[in-house]
Amino acid sequence: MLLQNKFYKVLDSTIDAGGNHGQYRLALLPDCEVYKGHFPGHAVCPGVFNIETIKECAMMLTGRKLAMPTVKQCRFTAVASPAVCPQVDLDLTATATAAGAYLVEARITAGDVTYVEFKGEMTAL
Amino acid sequence: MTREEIIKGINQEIVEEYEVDESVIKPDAVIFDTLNLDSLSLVDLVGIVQFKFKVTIPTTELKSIKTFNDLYDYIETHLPENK
Amino acid sequence: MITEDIERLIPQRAPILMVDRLTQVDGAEGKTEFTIKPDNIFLDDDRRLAEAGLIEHIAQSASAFAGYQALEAGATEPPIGYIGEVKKFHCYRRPQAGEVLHTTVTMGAEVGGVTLLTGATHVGDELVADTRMKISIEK
Repeated sequence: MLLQNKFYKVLDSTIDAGGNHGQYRLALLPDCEVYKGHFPGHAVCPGVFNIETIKECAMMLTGRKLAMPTVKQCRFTAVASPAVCPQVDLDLTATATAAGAYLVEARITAGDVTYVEFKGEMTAL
Repeated sequence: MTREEIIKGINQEIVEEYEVDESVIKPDAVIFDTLNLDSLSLVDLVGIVQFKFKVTIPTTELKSIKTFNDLYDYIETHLPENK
Repeated sequence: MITEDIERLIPQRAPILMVDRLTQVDGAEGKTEFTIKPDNIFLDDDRRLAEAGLIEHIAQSASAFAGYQALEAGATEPPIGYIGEVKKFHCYRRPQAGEVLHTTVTMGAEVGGVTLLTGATHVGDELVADTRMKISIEK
């Protein structure tokens, strides 16, 4: 995992009995080195780090190392930062579409605010 | 290009881009509500018009385009061949 | 040939600076170059770039293009841009450390600071990733 315990930390998780839906409470770590460059003096979560975080949670849910060949659509509807949203909720569904292939849908929110809506395909490596 | 061709062409692109049923695209329907647009998805519509018809809609003109009919009118009057 | 320093064109800095150079601007099209160093922040355990790194590289390529235009228009600081949307991103192969990414971005329609664009990244002749994207640029 590239970002776990560097960019975010999992505080709590709930996995449904079927194993294809999970909810993760994440802390966004303000001391992550990425903020030195994104942006100097103005820490904002890189959108792509949120995508990578979704991929890592999908790996936790499926228990497999995944590649992400396709992002069908990922909307960033608000700008996240450790100051604005120190904790976020990541809700994720991974539906198996073929052997080792998943359609992943995820949403990152904090309270009433939605930060990311994601839909993509991931495959086991 | 006839008005019918414009309507057919743009509706087809909208159906594909926004994944809506063509039956919801009625001439008098309000575009914003019908397609559930926000500031992010609005630019797709402008992009379609630019790509398909080579018609650029400036931000300032967008306010005057409310219904699908307004959109067809705008394209028809701004088509390079009709200018 | 564009000789402008990349730090004049985009606000990102190490460790998440993902473009080395804007090499060409022609109408709505810009070309960039980036060499993946062994300590790149997006390199996974297998020493290949995570897909998110390719998306960031394409976004910063577009940002460099926008920064170049802003500079030409008299700006002194590179504008800050955020990714608004990634659509139909495909990763055909994850490049590894040492490889050089060549990316072409083509800017499309713009409404209220949100710009549509397409980007395609090659290593040599091989297409490794392409995407549609929206970036919103702070003015």
